[in-house]
Amino acid sequence: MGLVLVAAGVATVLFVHWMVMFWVPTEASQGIVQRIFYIHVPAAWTTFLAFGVVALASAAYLWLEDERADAAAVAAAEGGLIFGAIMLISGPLWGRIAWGTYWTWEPRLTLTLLLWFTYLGYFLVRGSVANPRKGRRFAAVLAIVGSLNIPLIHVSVVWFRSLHPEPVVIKAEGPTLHPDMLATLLTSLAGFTMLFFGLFLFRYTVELLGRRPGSPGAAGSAGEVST
Amino acid sequence: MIVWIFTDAAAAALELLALPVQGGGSPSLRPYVHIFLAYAAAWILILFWVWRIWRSLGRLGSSTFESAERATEDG
Repeated sequence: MGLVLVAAGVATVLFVHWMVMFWVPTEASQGIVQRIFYIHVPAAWTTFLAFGVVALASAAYLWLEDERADAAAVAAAEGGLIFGAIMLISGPLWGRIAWGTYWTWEPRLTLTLLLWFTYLGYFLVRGSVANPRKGRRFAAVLAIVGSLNIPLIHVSVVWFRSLHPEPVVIKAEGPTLHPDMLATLLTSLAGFTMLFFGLFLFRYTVELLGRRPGSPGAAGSAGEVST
Repeated sequence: MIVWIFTDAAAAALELLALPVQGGGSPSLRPYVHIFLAYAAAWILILFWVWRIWRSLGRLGSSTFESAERATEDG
């Protein structure tokens, strides 16, 4: 299943590259650099999805104390950090041309950076407590509290004065994108989502295998199996 | 920060190399550099995650092999 999702995800993202280079129209006001949009927005979506999974799995772990829920949280958190890094690199590269600066401390950017560091802290908390079980529980609480930032990031461009553009797809009056741009974006969203879930399944399996008695990660078993 | 300085330097160097188009000045190559870097960074980070998963799997495989060998030696 994981391999099928990864293969489908890679194929879809490669197809998106073709769409971005040869098919989608150029945006009128920003020009060619707007094409970063087709990687930046899907990376952001996947990041929020991943951190949402971390929060849900963490809640399940706190409630049931099931190792599988904690392993799922670790796997999703790692994926969230990877896709979050893609978002945080592609955004400034786009902003340098569109806004004239790589970074500005405006609400959405600041909250997004805070979210990324919160989940980086998730791993640090797990590793910093001598009792692995306690570390997992602290990290689970951090993951749940950190996820409250996700809806705030979404509405920040509406609530606060912001340089970041407002949503163009998830709007009350429907998407305001050119149909070809919307098709490219949705294809990219599908590709990134499949890629994330495919790699998530592999990572989750490795995490569970590492926690079996006698395996190298079993002693600490705090998500450091792959470090 | 270093990446951003490098990006600006690379874009500026490419713009210096760009030939004038019909007397209208050189076209800015900077957006193309930024698009290329954004897509390249995405692939590098995804491949980095794949590599980490692969490495963890390799470690698990070798430790399982070692413990199986030890169990055989111990009889």
